[in-house]
Amino acid sequence: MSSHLIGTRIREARRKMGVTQRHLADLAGLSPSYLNLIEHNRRGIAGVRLQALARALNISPALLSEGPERALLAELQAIAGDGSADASGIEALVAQNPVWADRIAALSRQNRDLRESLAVLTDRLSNDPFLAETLHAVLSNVTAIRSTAGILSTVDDIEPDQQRRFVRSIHEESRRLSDAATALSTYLDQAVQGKAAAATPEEVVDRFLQKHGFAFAALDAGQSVDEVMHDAAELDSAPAQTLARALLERYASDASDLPLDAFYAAAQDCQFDPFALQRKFGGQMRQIFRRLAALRRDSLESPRLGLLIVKSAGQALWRQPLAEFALPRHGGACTLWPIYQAFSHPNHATLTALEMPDGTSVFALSLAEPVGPLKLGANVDYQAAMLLIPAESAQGLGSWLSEKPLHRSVGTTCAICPRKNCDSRSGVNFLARVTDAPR
Amino acid sequence: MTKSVLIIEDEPNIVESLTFLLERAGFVVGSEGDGENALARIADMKPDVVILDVMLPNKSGFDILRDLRLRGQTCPKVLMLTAKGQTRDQQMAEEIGVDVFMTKPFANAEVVARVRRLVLE
Repeated sequence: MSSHLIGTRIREARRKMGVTQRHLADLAGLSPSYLNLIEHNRRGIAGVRLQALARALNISPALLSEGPERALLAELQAIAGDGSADASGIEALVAQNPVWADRIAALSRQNRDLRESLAVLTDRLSNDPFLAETLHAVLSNVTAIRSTAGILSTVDDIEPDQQRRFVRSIHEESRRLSDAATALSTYLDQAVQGKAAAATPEEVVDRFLQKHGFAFAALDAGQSVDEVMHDAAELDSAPAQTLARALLERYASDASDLPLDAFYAAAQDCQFDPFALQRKFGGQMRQIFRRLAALRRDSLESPRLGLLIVKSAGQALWRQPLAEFALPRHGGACTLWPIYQAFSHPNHATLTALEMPDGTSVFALSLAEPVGPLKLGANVDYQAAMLLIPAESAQGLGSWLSEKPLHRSVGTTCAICPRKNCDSRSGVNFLARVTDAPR
Repeated sequence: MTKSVLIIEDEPNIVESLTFLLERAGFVVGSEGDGENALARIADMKPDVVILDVMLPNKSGFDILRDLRLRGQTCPKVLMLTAKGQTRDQQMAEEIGVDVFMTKPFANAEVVARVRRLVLE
């Protein structure tokens, strides 16, 4: 389906939404008669008007302008990943077997979602205070029951009073055990459905950033951090507020140094080349990375980017994941990620094509830079940043991404990595335990 | 001479079963449920063996053991009994100077046997 059928797509989307032409025209700020002409493909539409219509329909402008087939093609090309698949073969698959093409894309999305859920749950198993407390309570209950039952079953000459106390103890502990098991079951059920309450200040802040799409239009427009914080009721604890404020202040500082409009225009001119942007604006590369990642919003035509910034001790300062590339919250990430090698070659940028265990390909541009000014005799602290570019976004970017990248097979975190014979593996692997378990 | 054991544990039902088992084995047994009072109780009772939980109200078992060993005391012997059975917890306890590290849930006979062995050392 080509771009001249854009009106047909708008009409289908409007009908799916269940609104009249007049209603949609009102929402998008167009006249009903003009919308009617657009819907019948008698008038073209692009730019601001297309974006207004897409907003009103709550779908992406690309889906309207390029159609679902283009989106599906891009998705299948991303699944093919390393470019080994013949592009005409993918197009033929979509054209001849659209249902199967759609199923393949849906399975891939499902796989990514599951991988992300698994990473979140693994992260929680290790660090969630609720789980730690509840499991501790369960073990205490079981201990009391086992010890008391052991006494009752092996000792014959127990005084009747003491015997009654032991029986009462078993009754109390089994009731507590039942409550704890129910609470645990409910919690895990909610966690799988993504509804669990945020467990830590870091998790609260992560959700806050996700809710805003990692971009704060209000700060870009010159509003203060206080104003943004004032509207953020979800930041309900002092530690979460402190963490969020630090991130927002740095965002505001970036927005002041590299104003959105000028930065976006320059980024478009150089096809989002971070090196060209640094030559133009100066400053540190990790600031350029942060501004590039902040362009990821519906209102702008920009590539979908992820970003990780870490301190030399491994603590994450900014986690902006991609669906294809989960970023563990509490460390324990794959040590093969180039961001960690960057610390051994500060100020040396590397471009790496990362292959995930499921074959997904993501480009990573990494480098470490010093923090603050150098002082004679003083230790220098470093931060490393890794800009993540999914294969599908890379296709639209400039020559800077075609510089021969290194290739590396990586995972997310050892605990859920299916790769075998990895020299860098450490700790327990839950997948291995599941797959190796006797049947 | 009768040997004594102090159980520092905040779960009363676990304290009751341990007390029963150890008294039947011939020990004099005391208990304390608050981490903050533990050191004073040890100084007062002077037990031969302390059974020490890790997660206690007001002061953790690790902190109690650290304070005890910082005073240069190798007595009493300490058996750490905890639901936190991860390797790093055991390593930490051993670095601080624990004599025996056991995880919950425990087997009754094993706890009694370990305490007997500690008083004989």
